[in-house]
Amino acid sequence: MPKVYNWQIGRKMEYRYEEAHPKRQLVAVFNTNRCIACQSCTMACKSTWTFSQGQEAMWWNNVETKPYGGYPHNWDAKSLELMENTSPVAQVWDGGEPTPERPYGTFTGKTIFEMAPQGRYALGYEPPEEDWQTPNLYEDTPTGGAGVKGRAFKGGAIHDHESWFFYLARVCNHCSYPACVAACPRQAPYKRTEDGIVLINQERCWGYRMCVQACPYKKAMYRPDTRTSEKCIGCYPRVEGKDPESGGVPMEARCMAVCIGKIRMQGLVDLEDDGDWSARPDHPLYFLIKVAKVALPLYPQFGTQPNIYYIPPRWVPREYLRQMFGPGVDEALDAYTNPSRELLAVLQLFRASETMYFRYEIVQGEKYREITIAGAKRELFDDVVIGYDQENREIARLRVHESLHVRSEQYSNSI
Amino acid sequence: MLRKEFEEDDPYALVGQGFPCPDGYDSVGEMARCFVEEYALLGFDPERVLRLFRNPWFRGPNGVYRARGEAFVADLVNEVFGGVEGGAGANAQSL
Repeated sequence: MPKVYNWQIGRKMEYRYEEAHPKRQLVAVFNTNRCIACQSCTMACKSTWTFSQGQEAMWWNNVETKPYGGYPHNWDAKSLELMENTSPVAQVWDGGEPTPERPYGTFTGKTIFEMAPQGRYALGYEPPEEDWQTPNLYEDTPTGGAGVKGRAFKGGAIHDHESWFFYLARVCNHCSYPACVAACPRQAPYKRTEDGIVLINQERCWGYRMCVQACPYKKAMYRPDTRTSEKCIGCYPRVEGKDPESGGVPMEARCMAVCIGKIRMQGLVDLEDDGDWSARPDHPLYFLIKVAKVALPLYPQFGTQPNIYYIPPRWVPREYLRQMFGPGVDEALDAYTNPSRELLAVLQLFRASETMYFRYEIVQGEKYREITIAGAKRELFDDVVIGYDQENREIARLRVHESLHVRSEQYSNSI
Repeated sequence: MLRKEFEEDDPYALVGQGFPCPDGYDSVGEMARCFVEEYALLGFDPERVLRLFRNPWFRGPNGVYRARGEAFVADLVNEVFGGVEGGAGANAQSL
């Protein structure tokens, strides 16, 4: 197989096709620290794209509880176990010093492409039908005791969590090296040159389900009534600026736009011919991922170079997070826990506009607070962050110093 | 609006799933630290943070308070704020 460079694993790897890159790439950052699993994103996607007969078990966007949950059930545990059992070498990172070309070090294990069975282009498994059903069952639900029917409706209560957990929102990663593209014998899935969105050509798809099997994130899904596979389309009409509300400029996807927890930011980053991101430190996504390094890819060891990045949850055991987001976790959480003046400002931009940001600038303000946290002096400034759209028009303006309103004791539980 | 009342034989068995923490990992302490730091950044003073932990309407912080007790929370508040003269716990006696 040809060799392609995957910057997330810090080395070249085998892939079915020669290296090629779009002009721009759809990218998003999800802040897991803010997600409350309200499923607004899930329902926005469902009601827009997958409400038809045959799509009942199809959730292009889902939010699952970690470490237990998953849609399809235990998708990541199963993918990791399959890799672990197949790899002839340890699935580890080299622990080397990061460089711009390999910011997380080098993964010395094998990717799903490098462990492909004979005659295939990626290692994977096809989830059984029951794994696609009942998403979120047994996750963060009122306790009733296994097998105790109706208990949750009769005096059951949400229990106090003695152990850690967090919510993981997921969509198609619109990977730079998509496993679905590599696996298909009919080249039905393809990656768009204009924005890197990965689509499945429904006319070419014959429903072999190789993409379902190969995608390690399990974001390609089979539809039994049309006998084709479908997947998240990145709300491409909105990204193209063709939505009537977009004003002709790129707009974020439905799942991003409805997020009430303000966990999501989506945009387009420019790519060089070699696939490297064009240096744009004034682009909020470039800043979060490449400068502040606060957002990380999900399971980079799969090798698909996913383009949805996550700010890891800060209260979760690091060992678990390193498996999920790679060795960049410690640096990311250091940055998030002790945010720079600029990072604090950029974090304010989340969900202040449905229109995609292409640039931001910060107007510095007065210092309004100085406190010592865990021995470190922290200075907070009332800076103003301004976001601009593709046409360089101002679309958001926010202060870092937000007003704080606290209900009085009398109304402490009023809704 | 259609409404279907719950029936005893509905095939639901809602359960919560626990997951073991690695040896020596204090997940409650880590979460409690997040709470204290976030409220500190919002401008709360140590006494006010401790009062919030005592308030049963703030389920997360109050869960920590009930599980670990006042001394644990007061020590954590003191530690995060870099040591408050007299200690948050001492000040909190009069709250």
